[in-house]
Amino acid sequence: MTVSAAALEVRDVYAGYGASDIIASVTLQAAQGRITTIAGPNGAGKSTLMKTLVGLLRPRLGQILIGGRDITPLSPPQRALAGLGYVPQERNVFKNLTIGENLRIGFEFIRRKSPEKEFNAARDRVLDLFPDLTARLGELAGTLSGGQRQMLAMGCALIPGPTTLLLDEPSAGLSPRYVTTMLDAVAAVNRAGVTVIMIEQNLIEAMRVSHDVVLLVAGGIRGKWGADVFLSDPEVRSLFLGGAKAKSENSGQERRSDDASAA
Amino acid sequence: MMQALLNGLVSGLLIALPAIALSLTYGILNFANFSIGAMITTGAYLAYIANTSFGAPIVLAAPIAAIVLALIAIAIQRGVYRQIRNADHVTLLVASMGVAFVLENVLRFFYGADVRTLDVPVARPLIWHGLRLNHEQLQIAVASLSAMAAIAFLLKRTRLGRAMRAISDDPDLAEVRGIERARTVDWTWAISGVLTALAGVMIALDGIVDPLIGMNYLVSVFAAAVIGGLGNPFGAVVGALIIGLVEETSALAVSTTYRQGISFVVLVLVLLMRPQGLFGAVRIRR
Ligand SMILES: Nc1ncnc2c1ncn2[C@@H]1O[C@H](COP(=O)(O)OP(=O)(O)O)[C@@H](O)[C@H]1O
Ligand SMILES: [Mg+2]
Repeated sequence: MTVSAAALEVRDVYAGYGASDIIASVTLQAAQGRITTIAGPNGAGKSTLMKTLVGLLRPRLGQILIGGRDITPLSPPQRALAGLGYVPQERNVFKNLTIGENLRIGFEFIRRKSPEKEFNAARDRVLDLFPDLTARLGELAGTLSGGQRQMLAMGCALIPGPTTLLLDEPSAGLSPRYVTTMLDAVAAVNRAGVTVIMIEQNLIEAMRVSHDVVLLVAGGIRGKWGADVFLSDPEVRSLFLGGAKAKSENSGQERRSDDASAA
Repeated sequence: MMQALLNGLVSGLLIALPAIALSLTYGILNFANFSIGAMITTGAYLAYIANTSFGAPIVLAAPIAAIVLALIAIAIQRGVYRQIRNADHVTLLVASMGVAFVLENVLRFFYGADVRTLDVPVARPLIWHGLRLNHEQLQIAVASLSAMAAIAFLLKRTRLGRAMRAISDDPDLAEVRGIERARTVDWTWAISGVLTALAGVMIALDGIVDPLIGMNYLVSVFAAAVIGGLGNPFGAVVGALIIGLVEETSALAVSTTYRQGISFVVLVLVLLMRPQGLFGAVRIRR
């Protein structure tokens, strides 16, 4: 296969939450029509990078382009209108709204001019992908189990028909059966023509569906691999297997910061 | 006693409108709008001006007051609150106290502290099995119930209502889903202006217009919204009915000058039993 055009391009981006940068000098390209996985230890800045891509964080320096168009100045709603779909790692559904309302909200602000008929068709496609949600449309999203919540979040991002989909750990916290279901859904969405960029920790499962992998460590890009060779690279192996101790320390830190932000 | 219950119900319906307004702005902006009392007063004066200076009958003066106060509320949002939107909620609360101070003093400057009344025809009260319902109370009940039905429809069935609830639930996720926050916030203030203006007009109808009429309701309105679980507009209605009923029935036993104190006691009692308000737990925050 020849090198395809970049659906999403990040040029020398620096971003963080206050004085210091969490990610620095990040440059990467996600190829059109492919699944690019961002791998890296906990606390590496993967979620921070993705928040910068959707506009929730403003980069201190650098540019973000989709389909060659510079979207750096655009707000999150404008980026959504430009075809960017996003599933956050946590807090990814409106818990006090019903499942049906969540889906409608996913559609109606991005496809403002579309008639009700198109919403119904789009919703039916999502429910075909995630049939578990069908019987519960009238219930509050906050009552869903972790796996079902993840499916709803994915459905909400898919329903307006994005051209590029950003997924922050779509299989995190899911039982093995759901991990497979979720990643199969990602692959199906991609086969339908959507470019996917996802952060994943279930690397073995993720490699089954991914095409490309970039590795992010301590806020910087460490390289790019084909999904078929990524896990056999010695550097990668030492990071994820040999570096297990460092990783668990980091994950403790991550949990504390999550609690603080939820409070 | 039955009369007191009836009066309490009507009074609760009146308090419900600004309590809903308080809950909506709290849910979306995450700060308690202390200027709600001054907004009520401003609404009453706007209707008074339309009514006496321009000769508009009250059915016309009320919507004029509502629209003008909605525009004023949007102007205050853009001129004050948006400028300091990244400040913590205490700063915003203090800013709304400043807004209240300015609004009240502008009214005082132009109209003094004189007591004024609306120019409305006097109508005979309805009497039914010894229960008295005067014309103003009937207007309050009808206007308030219609406004509540409109708000319920708006929140549950319209795109704007879903945008408001989505932002109240999770502002970041709302933005990512394509919701323009600034525009939704403007609309929320406009709705808040309409609801408080209507309350101001109804208070004026039932009594007088002076620079403190809104302030006199401040504790009741806050108590109603907090009892209902701040940020939950449907809870605010229940809270308002409770406050209205308690205030009117307590008037049978103690002087009406303690009315606000009674509201405060009810508020404290409810919060002691349920710190999140009666309907606070329905909302899932985790
Ligand atoms: N909202 C926030 N405010 C301040 N620091 C944050 C915030 N979110 C994450 N961080 C910090 O940024 C770093 C990277 O976090 P994150 O991007 O979530 O990593 P990853 O997704 O790779 O696990 C961590 O040190 C984390 O503590
Ligand atoms: Mg993360």
